[in-house]
Amino acid sequence: MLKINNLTKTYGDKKAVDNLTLHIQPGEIYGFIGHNGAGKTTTLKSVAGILQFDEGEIFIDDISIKSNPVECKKIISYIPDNPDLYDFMTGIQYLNFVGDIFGVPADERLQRIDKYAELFEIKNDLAGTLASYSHGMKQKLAVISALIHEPKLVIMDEPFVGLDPKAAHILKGIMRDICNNGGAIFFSTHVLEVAEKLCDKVAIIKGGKLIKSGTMEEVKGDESLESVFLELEA
Amino acid sequence: MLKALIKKQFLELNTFYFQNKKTGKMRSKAGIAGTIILFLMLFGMLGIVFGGLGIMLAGSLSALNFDWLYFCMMGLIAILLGTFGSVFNTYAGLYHAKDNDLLLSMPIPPSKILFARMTGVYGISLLYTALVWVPAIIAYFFEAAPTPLCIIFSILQLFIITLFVTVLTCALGWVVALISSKLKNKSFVTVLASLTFIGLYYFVYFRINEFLQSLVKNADLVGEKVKSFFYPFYLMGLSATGKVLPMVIVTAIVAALFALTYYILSRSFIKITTTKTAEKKAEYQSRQVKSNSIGKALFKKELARFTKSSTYMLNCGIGLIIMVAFSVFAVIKASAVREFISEFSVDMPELSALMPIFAVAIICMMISTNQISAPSISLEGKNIWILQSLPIDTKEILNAKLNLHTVLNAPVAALTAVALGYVLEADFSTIIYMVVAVIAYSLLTASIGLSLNLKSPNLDWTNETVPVKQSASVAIGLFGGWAISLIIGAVAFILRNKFDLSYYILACALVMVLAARFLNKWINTKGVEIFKSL
Repeated sequence: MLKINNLTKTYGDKKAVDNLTLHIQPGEIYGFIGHNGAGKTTTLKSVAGILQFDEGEIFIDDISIKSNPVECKKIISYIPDNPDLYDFMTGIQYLNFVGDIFGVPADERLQRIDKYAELFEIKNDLAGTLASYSHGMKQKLAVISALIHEPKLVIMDEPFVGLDPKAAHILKGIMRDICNNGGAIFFSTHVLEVAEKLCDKVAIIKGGKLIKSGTMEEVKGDESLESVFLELEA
Repeated sequence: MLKALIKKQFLELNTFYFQNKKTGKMRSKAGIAGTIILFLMLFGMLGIVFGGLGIMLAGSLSALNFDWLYFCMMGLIAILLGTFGSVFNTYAGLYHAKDNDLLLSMPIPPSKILFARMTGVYGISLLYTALVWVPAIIAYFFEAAPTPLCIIFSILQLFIITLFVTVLTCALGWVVALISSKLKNKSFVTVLASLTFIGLYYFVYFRINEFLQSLVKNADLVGEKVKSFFYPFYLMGLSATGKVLPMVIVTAIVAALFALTYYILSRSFIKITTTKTAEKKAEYQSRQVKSNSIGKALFKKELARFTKSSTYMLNCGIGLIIMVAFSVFAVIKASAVREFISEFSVDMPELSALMPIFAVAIICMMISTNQISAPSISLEGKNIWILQSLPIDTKEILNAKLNLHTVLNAPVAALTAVALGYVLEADFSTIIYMVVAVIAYSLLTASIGLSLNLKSPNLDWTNETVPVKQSASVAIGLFGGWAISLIIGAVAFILRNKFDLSYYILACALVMVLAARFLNKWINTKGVEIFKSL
């Protein structure tokens, strides 16, 4: 589903991501952990086609994000760590805007908006402007907009920040459903307990370099993910 | 405690003017000096305006023994300027300051917080009031013969008038906030209110001489009316001339009003500060909507961005209103305009042939004030990730921005060209050339604005006035556009006797289209790469 080969991204003299290689198969929830400034967001943004990178290649469903970004973006969706949405639109206007861009037919769009808005309990708020939304509501709307075209790969940067426990639980269920239907999830998190419980595989990044990756058992063995992470970070 | 609060309040005012909003650091010495010079220049210019007005009135009214009417009139102008200058910031400053939670969590009586904030309002009001009152009393000292008591009292009056302005702004600020919370289409109402204010300003500006002459001529009558219907203002004028009793009465009345306002506001301060206005929530009705193409969806998004922001509309779209108003005015006054031109044409017969070119140049100048595309990249701000992560060809994103500019400008400009063509009695082909030229100019300004913004984008802002009002792309687009418009007219004027200018407008249109095409090519290649790398 996702192949990151030798990805390198430099800001000035600093290598934010250094020769990173990572492959994600369909059906996998892949967690991406590392301390602040380790290069997680840069990697995720490169995969989402938001950042242009210096070296390496990224393939989504065997399509290169470098040479064919539009085709790649049609089958993925990206949820940022801070959902800065268009404050001048209402919730429903924003969802319809995203639906128009992905070319989602009107009837399917309506069905999905109703389904997810009810699940996240923001259906009654969709007529309100985004300027009046709380951080959590914006995060929920960003999640719904990311699901509107049924993506094959969902890239999420700290998706649980700002969500209430119920919404976080629902999102975890949706993530599992996507993978059960042949999709894949690639997400970053600081909450190691969430990564440990939710992920099929995990990758640890430090100073832009991938220092460990694999199935949860391969990475942590008999220890907790927290102690492995702290050991590797030391 | 109160001293510390007042000190903090004035420190806040100080940092507003002398701190760099981007870095949070104090401006450099040169920066502070520049800001002070800019303010002094502004004060100087306004001082000349109000001083000039004072000189016109002071001598005449003093000669008629209506010194009090002079101070009354200037006092009223000072109250008006002071109130309108500070009323829009008062509500937020008093009740919704950023340090509310911090101060309310400290052991400070709320009444003291309010008092400190009211001193802040007083400080700002003093600046605005002084703009009128200081030149007014200086003009009076020069034009009349003030007694020592008049000098002292008129100076003291500045602080009393400011106190009255503080009372008014505190009360009106509350009303403004109440009205604002009930408005549905705030951006359109703000634009309408601003345009009305500008219209009124120009109305007063053009009629001021007439008004002053009539005031001096009918000073007796005006004086009687003021005494009968606005007695406190009569006393205000009288006290500034050096009369002790009126001064005591006015000071007592204003102090009582301030105390009353403070008492009422302090009683409701906590409630207002901590209560959020309950806005009526719009009910979402689930219904199927028509799908749009990517191009249409992007265009609608750009249009919503424009129409939902009064700052964007007022600063980058006011030329649209000016063009409509100009066309209507020109058509209504067509015969007067024709007469005016024919009078000039007696000495310069070639002028009538140049008029359609000048009309095109004027329309181009008005189009230049509509810098809709110039801040459009910067306005994406922190939302830029949305467009960058969606499956859209970057060319379509940039084209939507160009299209909004052209779609709003070209039809209005074309109608203005037809209206001016009719007024100038131009033949059909000339009107067509004029229409083609202004449409071409709309296309060109769209491309110039977007190119400039791609070269100097600013996505890191917290207030949209930064990309709209303080960006290089908007400033260069505006002044550059005016320069192009002037060149169009000037070149035609210089060449008037050397060439047949029948096809000059068409030639200008062709150059504009070619330039727009060249810039569009750049936007679709280099511009696309720049956008991707933002």
